Amino acid sequence: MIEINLLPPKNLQTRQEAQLRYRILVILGAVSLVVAIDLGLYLPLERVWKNDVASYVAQREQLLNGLDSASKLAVDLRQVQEKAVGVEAVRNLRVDLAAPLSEVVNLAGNDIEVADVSVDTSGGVVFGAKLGTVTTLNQFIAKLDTAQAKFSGMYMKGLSQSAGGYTFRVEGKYENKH
Amino acid sequence: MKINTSKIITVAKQASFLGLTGLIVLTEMLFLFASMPKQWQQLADLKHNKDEFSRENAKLARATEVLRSIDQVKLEVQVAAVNAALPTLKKTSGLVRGVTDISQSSGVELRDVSFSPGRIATDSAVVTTEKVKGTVARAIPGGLTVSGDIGAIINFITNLQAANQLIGVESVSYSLSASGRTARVSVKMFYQPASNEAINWDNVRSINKHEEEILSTLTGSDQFILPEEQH
Repeated sequence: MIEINLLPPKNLQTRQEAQLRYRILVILGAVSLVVAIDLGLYLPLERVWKNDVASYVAQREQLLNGLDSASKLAVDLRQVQEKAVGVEAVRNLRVDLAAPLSEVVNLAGNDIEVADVSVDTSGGVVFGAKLGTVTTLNQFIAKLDTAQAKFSGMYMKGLSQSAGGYTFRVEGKYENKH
Repeated sequence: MKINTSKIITVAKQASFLGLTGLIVLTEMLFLFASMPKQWQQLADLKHNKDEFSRENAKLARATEVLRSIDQVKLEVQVAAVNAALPTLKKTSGLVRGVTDISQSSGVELRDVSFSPGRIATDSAVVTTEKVKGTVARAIPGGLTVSGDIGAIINFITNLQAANQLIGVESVSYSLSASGRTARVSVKMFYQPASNEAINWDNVRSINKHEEEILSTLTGSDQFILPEEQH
């Protein structure tokens, strides 16, 4: 009788089995470790963070309730803040037109009668005046020269003489420093 | 062929060991693949919500802190001052009264007050007024005719510019005519519509030093304040 032994010799068989078991156990251990780490992280984190979120929601409710009663203050505060910006912008935008008018009156003095004056925000100044004698005319021209600090590009035009004296117009720019 | 029973048992043991451990590994891997992405997504969502609420609460707490620190009496004064300087509504009744008062106190006679047609309606009207650059403030153009000597007119312009409500004088044309000495004054009356947006608590902050300085430049007169424009 011929005996066919399909299995390797016993010692070799035992070694191969042991290796196989060892490998399988290593794989099992590794996968189990991953599962343990996964659950070990997930479960506590989920519990802690859920509690955190719940407490934040409660805190938020409390804060919002408190702020509701103060919303009128917040509206007022916002209004003041926004309008302060508007006030500053408008103030920077505005040009003082009383100043050039005053300067024209100062320039004319007592000897000249200002007939008309136009001033605008571009700094443009135009005025018409009349005066009596050549002397006052010369004095006014001298004044015009010295007025260059506040006015620029001043020039006299349309000078004419009539029975009442000299009439003329002056055009220039006012250096408005507001 | 002789069948060796002990060897069969050995093979069966080996197969059952392999099968069992393989099944456990397979189950664990299936569990990992099936639940791990969900778990981590859930954790990521929780973390996001937690951080979001935390940030929002910090902002709300800051807003509460700011509002608690406000001097309410001072704020009321500031609100009245800014509303006088830049009324919320385009109402001009107060303006006409204010300009009349200024003309009387300046020694000129107010002959005519006009505003651009269709631009002085109440807040229900479509806003067609000019916007001040970089702000939400707007301007209503208008014109005034006053009579008086040049000194009184200069006084009027000065007082107009110093009025509680911000008025911009655009041009002055003074002339001598048969009807006397008159000045045509082009003006812009400034106002600022109220913000109708809900309060953004992130933007609730106290009045800063610069804003305080701006507010301190506003005059204390209540010449142009209309009760209905204060709130």
